[in-house]
Amino acid sequence: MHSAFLSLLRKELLLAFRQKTDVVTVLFFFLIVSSLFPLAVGPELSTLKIIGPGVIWVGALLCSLLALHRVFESDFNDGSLEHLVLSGEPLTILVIAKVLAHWLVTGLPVVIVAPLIGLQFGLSQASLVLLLGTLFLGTPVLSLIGAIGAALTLGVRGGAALTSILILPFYVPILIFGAGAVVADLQGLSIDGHLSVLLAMLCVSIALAPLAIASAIKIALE
Amino acid sequence: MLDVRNLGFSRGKNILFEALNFSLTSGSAMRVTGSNGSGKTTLLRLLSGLSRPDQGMVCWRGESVTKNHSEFVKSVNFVGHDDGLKKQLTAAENLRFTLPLLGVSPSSKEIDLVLDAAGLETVKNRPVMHLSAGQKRRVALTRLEFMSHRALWVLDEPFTSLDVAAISSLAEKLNNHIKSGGLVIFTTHQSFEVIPQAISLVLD
Repeated sequence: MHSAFLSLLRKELLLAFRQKTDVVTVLFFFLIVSSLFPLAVGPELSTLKIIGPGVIWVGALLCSLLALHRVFESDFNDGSLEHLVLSGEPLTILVIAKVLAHWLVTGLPVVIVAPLIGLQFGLSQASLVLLLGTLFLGTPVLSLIGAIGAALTLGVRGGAALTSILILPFYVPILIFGAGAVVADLQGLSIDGHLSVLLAMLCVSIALAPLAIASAIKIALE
Repeated sequence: MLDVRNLGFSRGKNILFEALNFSLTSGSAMRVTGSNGSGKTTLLRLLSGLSRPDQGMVCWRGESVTKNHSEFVKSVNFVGHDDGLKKQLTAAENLRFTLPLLGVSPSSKEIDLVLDAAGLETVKNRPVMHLSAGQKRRVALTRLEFMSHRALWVLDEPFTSLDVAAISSLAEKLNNHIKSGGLVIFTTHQSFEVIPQAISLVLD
């Protein structure tokens, strides 16, 4: 099982490396979207500090959406998905490898770059660290939930748009608690609740999303 | 070994086949033929456990494929219409990353030897997107060299796009698998006989 998991993970990362433009496009999209807000809102630091976490979180969410259709689509089109299902390895484990690869190439770069964007909004060092932490907990949840939508819409015409419509409502709590933690901290409120909910969402997603993704893939292949 | 009992499948109101019954023992082969849209690929997907039948059942070694799916798939090697190759990766990389999923982890040298034997020595390190359709098919079929531990080979149009030499090589591979007690089920539109002992099933 280890060998299959690592092999699939390495394959996905190598594929991402060979298609660098896809990864770079997502990152540039995040940089541009997040950088436009300070220009549009103006230089008022108190306003920027309040909207900053929300803007960065929305940017991260949109980046996740932008790359979602690629998680399973090419595997579905070229027959690789059939090999995964018939591999004899637990499909739930294999889909974790695919989602992990997706997060490493789309979510993690956003997490790493986010503090730099945060500087534009005048966030303090403590707020930047907190923002980094919430994104680190939240973006894997975006990838896991998004992958359910991507698997459910496999083979459907206009699947990318349908995926967005399907999963956006499920992204809202992550957005609220992710951005809310930083805003609460700025207002001197406790952030324990926000972080606990984010952590709980991550744990539940890791436990349940692979089952849902595997089932959706099997249905799509039938 | 493989029992098909009263198998039926339909798409909407279109019945592809119904009340299909046959049994295959180890060391045998079945050639499925029929016109376009007659249900050949659907039948292969049912036999490999990728789809569920509307009626009847497929049994492997006495157990229902649907109920015992996770164990059954460890005995199946399915080669579909699509090659399952990543166009950005080379032929060698495709094998290196795919075979561990199927339970084998050959060395780079072993993979190179198999690709060389398949006549792909000059293109094995090129991205698959730069290969011809026949070469891609040959790369996909080289997986069979490592799949002898899987008894049931289900192949959808395996001879399509192959040249004469590659067809002969594939036929030899299939015959060897049958001789060693394996079971081969394949669809074809080719008129020539590559596996003379294969039982014929015609869908219409």
